[in-house]
Amino acid sequence: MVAPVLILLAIMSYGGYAIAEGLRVGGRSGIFPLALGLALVALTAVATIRTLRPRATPADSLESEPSPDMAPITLSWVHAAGLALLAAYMLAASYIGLLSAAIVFTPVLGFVGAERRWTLLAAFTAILVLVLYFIFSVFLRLPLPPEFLIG
Amino acid sequence: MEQFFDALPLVLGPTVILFMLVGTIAGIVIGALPGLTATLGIAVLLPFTYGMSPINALAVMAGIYNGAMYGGAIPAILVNIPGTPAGVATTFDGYPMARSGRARMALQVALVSSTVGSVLSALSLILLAPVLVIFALNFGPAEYFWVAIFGLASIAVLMSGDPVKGLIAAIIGVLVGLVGIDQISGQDRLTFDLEELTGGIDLIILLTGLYAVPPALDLLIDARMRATGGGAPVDARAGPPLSWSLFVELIPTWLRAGVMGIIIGIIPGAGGNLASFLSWTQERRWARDGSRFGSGDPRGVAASECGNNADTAAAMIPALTLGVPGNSVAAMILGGLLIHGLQPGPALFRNNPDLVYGFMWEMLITAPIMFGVGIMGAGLFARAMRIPPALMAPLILVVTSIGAYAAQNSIEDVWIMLAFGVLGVLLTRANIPLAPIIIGAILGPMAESNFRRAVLLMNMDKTIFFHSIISWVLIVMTLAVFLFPLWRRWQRRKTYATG
Repeated sequence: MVAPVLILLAIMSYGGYAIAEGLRVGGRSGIFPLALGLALVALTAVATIRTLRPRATPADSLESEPSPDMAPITLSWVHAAGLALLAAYMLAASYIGLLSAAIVFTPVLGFVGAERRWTLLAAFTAILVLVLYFIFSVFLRLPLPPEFLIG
Repeated sequence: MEQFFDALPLVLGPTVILFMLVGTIAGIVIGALPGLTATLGIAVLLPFTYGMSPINALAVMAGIYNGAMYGGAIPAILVNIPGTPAGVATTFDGYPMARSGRARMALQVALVSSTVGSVLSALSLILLAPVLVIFALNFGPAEYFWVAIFGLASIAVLMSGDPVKGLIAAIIGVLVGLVGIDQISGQDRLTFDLEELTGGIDLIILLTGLYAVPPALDLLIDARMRATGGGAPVDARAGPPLSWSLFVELIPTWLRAGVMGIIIGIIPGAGGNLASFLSWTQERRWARDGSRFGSGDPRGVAASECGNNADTAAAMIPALTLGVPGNSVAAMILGGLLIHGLQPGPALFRNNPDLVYGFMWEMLITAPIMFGVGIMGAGLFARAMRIPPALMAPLILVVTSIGAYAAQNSIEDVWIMLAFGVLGVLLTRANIPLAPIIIGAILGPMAESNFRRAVLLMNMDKTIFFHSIISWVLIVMTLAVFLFPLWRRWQRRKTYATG
């Protein structure tokens, strides 16, 4: 329950920022940010109270169904590790290139996904990087950041 | 209709057909992989469409859209895991059919039903969109403002099980859409004083961050769960094929499910999963021997698969004519149009008829392409399920990062994509749906610009928003959307009270 409440409070603070921006900009340009900020603060307050409040009746518990566009998800160390690795990949990519950085990123992320067949990881990484190099650099000629190892 | 037939030669060129074929195959593979959806497929692809001609880009998207809806049925039938959310209802009868030795028949029923649904849906787009666009000529800024509000409200309320959280998502989306320099006052808005945001947030970066990063990370969890066990799939070639007599027997089911899917597709916010569920439920009610549903009745597979494919092109009707996407995939395709500078609405039909009617042809032509590909390779696509998800995750993230960079040759965009990826993961954790954010980012600026235009046109007279009958109809529809959850709650309480 703590994580959803913290997330809702973060969204509420974003609503507060929108209110401040609406007031700062003022005039017609400020109407939408101000109105939307107010609505966001009000709605997140309602959502936070509902998250903290226990369900009264079984009928109430039927009110909130999972959204059909969302896969069931839990925030775990795997998400955190995946995001941290992605950030590290992007940081490395800005220095050594997106494909060169993928040579390390791909097997490490695969390892986080419980893939322990190192030969498979190595072969997949090599094929992925080469295929992407030929598609994006050779065939599509996309201007990618300078590569340290490839191209 | 003349313009419609004029567009045909454009899509019959070898390049466009090749893009449709590639898109369809990619869509089926994406759909067959649990956790990957048409939305993700298009999100990953979208940045690369910058360099394509619009008709080629739309060809790939049409293929992915139709293909993924069918592809989702393959794991639903063979391993009882829907490849896409729209394939959930297919598991009800598809998996029992496969378990009872009729996997081949179930897959063929799913393929034919998906094809019929796609064809019906494309025909509805071809017939209804030009009519609606003529009607849209009566719309002024005030009416477009209300269209945007109605679209936002319906998607926020109907697409989410929790209207409050749906509205929160929609407002976040609108605020994201407003980031950058205001075109009228020239002031920065909502940029956190970051220079990188003064130009606004590229829709592609938002789409890829929200729709590619969280599912890719979910695949890692899926991979870890599979590593600890998991059932073996049923042989896709087992059992008898779809017989002619069963084909004839399923025709009424396809017609009913097709109409249901089209209606749901047109309603903003409903989506393929609802089309699939409702088609299955209604078919069970309609059938005299409905008790067989859920235990391996081919009509269940036919209703579900025809319903979810009938939703596809129909969802593009409000998107192309009014700029209001029917679901998240339609929003992606709308985003694809916008990045090519194509604004939906009557002007799109007037200025780019070859493109808009060409896209309609592509939605129609990808249906038989899907049938041909599916009939040749259902077993082959079933093997796609064997691709370890642990390898799919880095593949998606690397391709997405390259795409985000390539969109504007900016590494900052890749970081912004990561930020939206983090946002997507966190919001999903709080059960806040992501689709209304995308719709909000598209419709928010449309609402604001039309609001300002209407006020300016009438010399600050704000009653302009209540002048026309169209405005009032849209206001009533918006109110009805907000009242719908209250009515549903009252119904549930009544049902609970009566035991």
